[in-house]
Parts: sequence; C-alpha cells; structure tokens
Amino acid sequence: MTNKNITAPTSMFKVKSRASKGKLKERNVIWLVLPTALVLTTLFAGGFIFGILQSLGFFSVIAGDEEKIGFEAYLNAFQNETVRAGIILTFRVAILSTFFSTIIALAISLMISRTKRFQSALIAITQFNIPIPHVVAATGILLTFSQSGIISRLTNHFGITDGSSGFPIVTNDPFGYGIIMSYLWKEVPFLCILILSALRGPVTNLDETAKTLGASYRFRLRKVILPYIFPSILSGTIIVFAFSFGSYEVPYILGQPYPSTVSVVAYQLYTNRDLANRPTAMALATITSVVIGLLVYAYMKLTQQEGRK
Amino acid sequence: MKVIFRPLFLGLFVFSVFFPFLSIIIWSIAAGWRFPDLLPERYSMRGYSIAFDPNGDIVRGVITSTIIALIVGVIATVIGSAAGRAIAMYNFKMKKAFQFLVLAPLIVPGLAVTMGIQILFIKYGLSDTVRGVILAHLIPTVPYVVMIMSGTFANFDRSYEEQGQVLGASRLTVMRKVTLPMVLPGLAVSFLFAFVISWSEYILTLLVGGAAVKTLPMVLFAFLRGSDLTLVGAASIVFMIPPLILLRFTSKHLVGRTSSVTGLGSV
Repeated sequence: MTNKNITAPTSMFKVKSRASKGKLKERNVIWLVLPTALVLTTLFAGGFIFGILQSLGFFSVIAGDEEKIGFEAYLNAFQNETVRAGIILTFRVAILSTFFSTIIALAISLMISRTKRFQSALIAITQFNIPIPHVVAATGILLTFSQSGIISRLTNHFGITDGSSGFPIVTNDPFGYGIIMSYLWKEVPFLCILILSALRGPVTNLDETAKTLGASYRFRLRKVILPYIFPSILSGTIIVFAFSFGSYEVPYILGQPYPSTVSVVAYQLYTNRDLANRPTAMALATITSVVIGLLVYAYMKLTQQEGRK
Repeated sequence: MKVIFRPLFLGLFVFSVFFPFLSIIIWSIAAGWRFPDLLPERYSMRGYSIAFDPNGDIVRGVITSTIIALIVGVIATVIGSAAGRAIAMYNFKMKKAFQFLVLAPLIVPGLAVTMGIQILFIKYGLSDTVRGVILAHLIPTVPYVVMIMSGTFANFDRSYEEQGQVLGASRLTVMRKVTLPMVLPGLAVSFLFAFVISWSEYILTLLVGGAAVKTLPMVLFAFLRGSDLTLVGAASIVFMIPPLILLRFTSKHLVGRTSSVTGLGSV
C-alpha cells in the first residue's frame, strides 16, 4: 500500500500521503476542517440549493406574485432560442479548448523536459502567463486578432489581405474562435505547469532506470512517463473543461451578443428588467452545474477504466 | 528534420506567449493608431497619466482590488491550509463528503452558485458591500488552497513535529519553528493563486458588489465598452503588474522538485 502510494500519483478524492501509515484520528481535526466546511457549505452548497429553489419558483422576487411552484422555468429555458444556441456554442468552445490545450500542453511539456539548454528559461516563460488575468488575455487576443488588430495590419501591409474587412472575422465571431484562442493562451501554460511538476517527481528515477536498461524514448514515453503523468493531465483537463464551460469574462469580451455562451445568457436573464426571467436564469445555472458535474463524473469513470488497462 | 522540429515548436510557443502583449503595450502608449499603420504615428503618455491620476478610476480600482485580494488571499490561505492538512494527514468522519465539498467549486461555475446566494446577500445587507464581495471570492479561492496544501502536507513528514514536541517545545513553537518553515512554499503558492483569482474576478464582484464596489476588472470592463483603446491598454498593463510581482516571489516553488502545484494534480 505504502509502496503503491509512492509510485502512483494521486487521483481524484484520494489525496494519499507518504506519511500516512495509519492516519491518526484526532479530536482536534474538527477545528482544521470547520472553517472551510462552514464557508463552503453556506456559500457554495447554500448558493446551489437556493438556486434550485428559486428555479422551482420559491422566493419569487415579483411583488404580490403568488408563488408558482413547478418546473416551468426549466421548460422556458429549453424553449428559449438564445439558450439553445448558447448551449451549442458552449459545448463547442469547451470541448475544443480542452482538447487542443491538452494536446499542445502535453507536447510542450515533454519537449521542455527533454531540452537541456534554456530549460529554466522556458519554464519561467510558461509560468509567466499563469497570473495574467483572463480579462487581460481576452483583451490581448482581441487587439491582436480583430479585423483592425496587429495581425490584420501585418497581413494588409504584406498584401496578404486587403484592408481591415479583408481579414477573416475570428474575434466576436459566431463560431467562437476568439474565445477558444483566449482559453488556449491561458490554459496551455496552466496544464504545462501541472504536467512539468509531475514530470519532475519520482518518475525521473523510473525513467532513468528504464533508460539504463536500454528502453527507447518512445517505449519509455508509453510505458513509464505517460502512465505516471496521466492523473495530472486528467485533473488538469477537468479543471480546464469546467472553466471554459462556465466562464463569463472571456465570452463576454470575445463573443457575440447572439449566440453567446450559457454563462453570458444566464447572467443576461438574471439581470433582465423583466424579473419573470429570474427563475429561468436559475434553471439555466442549475442545468449548467448538473451537466458539468455529470460530464466530469462520466469522464472520470471512463478514464479510470482506461487507466486500469 | 527531427532536430529542427523541437526548437521550432518551442520557439513558436514562446512567441505566442508574448505576442498578445505587443498590441496591449503599443496601444497603451499610442496617441491614436489608425488601421493600416503598422505602428502609431505619434506616442503619448496620456493613457498612463490617466491611469496614475490619484483621483482616477484606475487608482481607486487598484486600491479596492488590492484590499479585497489581500484579505481574500489571507483568509483563504489560513482556512484552506488547515483543511488541506486535515485531508492529507488525518482520517475523520465524513471525509469523503468534505473532499467532495472542496472539489465541487473547482468544477461548478461560481456564477451559478452566486446567483443563487444573492437573494440571501441582499437580505442580510451583504449586497453592494466589500464584505459581501470578499465572501463571494472565497468560493473559488478556498478550494485551490485546500488542493495545493493537501498536496504539500501529503509530503510532510510528521516526525519532525513529534521530535520538536518530545524536545519540549510548545505546540505553538512547533508550529512556528517547524511546521511553518516546512510548508512555506505551499503557503506562498496558495496565496499567489488566491490573490490572483480574487484580483482577476469580474462576474462575482459585479453580481454581489453591483456598482458600489469598483474593483480594477470593473474599471477595465467599463473601458472595454468604450472605444478608447489607449485607456484599455494602460489599464490592462496596470492590471497585470501586481500578479506578476507576486509570481516573481513564488515562481521557484511553482515547478520544482518539491513542487506545490502537485496538489492540483490530485483533483
């Protein structure tokens, strides 16, 4: 058991400890757990439950309105054309961002780990945009890729495109290219940091041993390195998917008014002057949370089976 | 072919990390930048003189954001690292449920739950206040700290504490002289993440703080809705400096032999 803990990285819900030989039970643990439990129960679980209740028609904010309890808000949400278009866009953006950021981050991390020269400089550059706010990232993408952005100016200058209108619309576009680019720009380095950290762990010794025994890089990659960093990639993709699915700032800056992602639509419904839209907004928020939860659960189940093979 | 491929790919990566900043920087010092021009005809410090106007929106935004992010960073780091220690080193009742409660906010969008809790915030007078915004910012920050610190404490050798106690040090002394120095890298990275998440947060602040709490992201969004890209550029630069300064002090702990982000790898 202990041995397995050292070689196998941690996985969801199981933060294993090297110093865990018979974890100590202590009465005092409650004081370690209580503040976080209190904060997250009231704010997070409370918010989730109150959201559901409001989506069902409880706590109506409309003065003098008889409380109508039921699933009407959910029907409204699915019948709403803006919501339906938003769901398609949101899935597209989240899936493409997660897929490509994972592939690119994996390639870059492996390359960095094999590079002898400039390795620390490359890691520093990777870290550099971790703390850059998403809003700034989206602004940078907008000013770079819009029709009057710097790339359009360059292609115009060299005669590749003709004028600003000759440049393809890739920001504030219906497909979501701009949103995806912004997520890639932020999430690739985030995933690189996770993967590079895993690559610096005990796997280096295993890899060294395999190398001494004459295993090729390709073989070591498949049999030693990838299995070892797999849990880190898995956690990373979950965080990236959930974030790109539910974020508001980036699609607000780089998206269109219609279609817009579910989070933007939900906020618009919530702040709509017509207060009758509030339960629909809550229904949409609840649906989003449940869908993300189910997808992450399914993904974990699938990959856990895959990992066992 | 193979020899060229790696430097080419990594070079492209480095280029794309920095390229988006180029337009932001140029815009921040441009006195107008008409379309076909590759570079502005004239430059000016107008953006920065507005940005550093002591009575201006940006300076006030920086102050509000700094206060909120510092308080959120400290609260999240303190309570989250306690929980991280509990998860990594102890067994307790309902541990599974607690871990679920900690992981869920990393997955469920903060907007969804904050919309739900807003009704209570209004009822208890937390809406439109800095206190309310700080509470809302704890939702996305605390889970990150718990994950990072549970990773840190998972590699923590408890026997050092026990030796300290055996040698007669009080629990407080052990904590100050033994535990804290050992987990300091984890704490630093936790604080970096909590501060940066709070510093960058827009939608939760808007929802809870309304127009009353004007953090820097609120100011930047207002500029983005306008058409003065010089202001957008200058505000963006001001916006990213404090997180980068924080990174400067924590970067050596981000990827290292005893890296602190491995905790995130255990989500």
